[in-house]
Amino acid sequence: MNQSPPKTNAFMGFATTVGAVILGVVTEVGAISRYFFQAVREGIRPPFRVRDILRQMEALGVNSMPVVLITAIFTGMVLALQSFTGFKRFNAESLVGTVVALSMTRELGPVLTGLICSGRAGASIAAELGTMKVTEQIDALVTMGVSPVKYLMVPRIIAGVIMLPVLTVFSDVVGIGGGYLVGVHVLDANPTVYIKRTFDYLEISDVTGGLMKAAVFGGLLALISSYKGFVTEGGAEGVGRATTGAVVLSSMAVLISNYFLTSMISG
Amino acid sequence: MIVVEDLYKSFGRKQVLEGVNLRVPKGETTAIIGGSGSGKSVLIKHIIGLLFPDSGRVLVDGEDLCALGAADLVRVRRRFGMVFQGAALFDSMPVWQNVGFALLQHTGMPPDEVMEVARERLEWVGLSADVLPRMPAELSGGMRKRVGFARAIAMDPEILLYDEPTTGLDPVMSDVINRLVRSLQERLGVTSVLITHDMVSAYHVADHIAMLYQGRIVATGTPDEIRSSQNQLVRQFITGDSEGGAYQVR
Repeated sequence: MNQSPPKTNAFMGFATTVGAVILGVVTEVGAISRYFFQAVREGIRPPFRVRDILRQMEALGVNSMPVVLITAIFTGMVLALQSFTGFKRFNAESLVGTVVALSMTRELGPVLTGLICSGRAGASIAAELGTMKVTEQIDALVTMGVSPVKYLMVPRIIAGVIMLPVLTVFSDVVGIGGGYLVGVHVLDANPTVYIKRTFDYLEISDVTGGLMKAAVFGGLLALISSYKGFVTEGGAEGVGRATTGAVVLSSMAVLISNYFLTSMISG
Repeated sequence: MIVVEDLYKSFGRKQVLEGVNLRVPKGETTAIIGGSGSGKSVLIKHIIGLLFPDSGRVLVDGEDLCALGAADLVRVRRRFGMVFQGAALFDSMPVWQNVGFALLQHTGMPPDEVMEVARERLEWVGLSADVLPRMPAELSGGMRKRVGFARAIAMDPEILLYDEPTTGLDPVMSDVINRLVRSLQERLGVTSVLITHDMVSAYHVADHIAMLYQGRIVATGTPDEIRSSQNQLVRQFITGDSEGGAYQVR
């Protein structure tokens, strides 16, 4: 009998698995890119569905506000506590306000908002469009000569690009406010010095850079979640899979793109 | 006239259509019968260009759907109205917006006129104006189905496709739907394609019947010809005989 040695079989199995994973990732990225270009092509052509965009801005932005604000205030508070503990070791407690402001505007504001919206709004988009797919509502749109990308995806992407920066502004302000509350009322920092230090080293580019990242995160999570909804197969179970997939993939997209965007903006 | 020529379609390793040939005469109703998994829904989705074949052609009045660009495909699709198996009403809109959706999207007609068209189409399908402001979730299965009919005929289509219109309905409601298919045919003079495994429905509404079995059309004829067919597959299917030997359930 002619059998391959066990080591070769194990290697082939490993290579096959790695190959399948790479192929899957490349296929998914390719499909999402195709939807992106179609959305751009159809999005720049009239009619511009302003009412649909406003509705999505409410769903994606306004309805995410409470959870974004709660996350931001407690993040700012924890950041103040943690940086105070560290800075006390080399007598730099007065820089707590600076650290909170820079961290919130440059990094935590946009990234946490992106992650929260990936979970909340991304899941909601994938579940809604996935349900429309499995109940043939998307097919119905096509049969009536309406492009699902134009009608469903474009308003969500535009809403994401507009509302994530808006949410991030609130997140930045509330996070810095949370840091102030802890710094001044718990750690007994001088309020005037705290506020001065908060704004002394904060530059406008810190804020705008964060907002640019947030806009990209918003577009990405809406694109990915809509895509996951559009390719849903197989009833309620499929909708569940699409929803989970949308949250995982958009969160990863936020974190991975964050590195590249930060290096571009900083560079 | 709709012509389906040598249509093949597979999903992954599963071959669903294996050389379908079919002619749907203009202005008449053709029922495509066949068991679950025979490829009926896949075939009807090819006829309206929701799916595209691996090989073969679908010609609508001579235009090959597979060769059309996006804009032309939209133009051809707008000649169709389609009634979906589960009605496929938009959950987020009231009934009048569902019925008038295509008008709102394509014609720039003011909402009060769209409402009037919706009221008229709902009347054609036996529903009163009371349902206009209601949401789809508030309707019974039969009412949802009829709203789906009203939506399909809102733009005065030349071709109507019905995907299992009586599935999941009680016998009386099925009869209401069958009569509706027939009355719309007479009122609008459209070309209709209906897919079903309900033989009562097929006999009631169709001018022609084609039987799809394992991805191929195995018999065609008028309802009387199908009823008296000696083809073993047809006989087994129309009598619901699972042990006749020829018809394999898969």
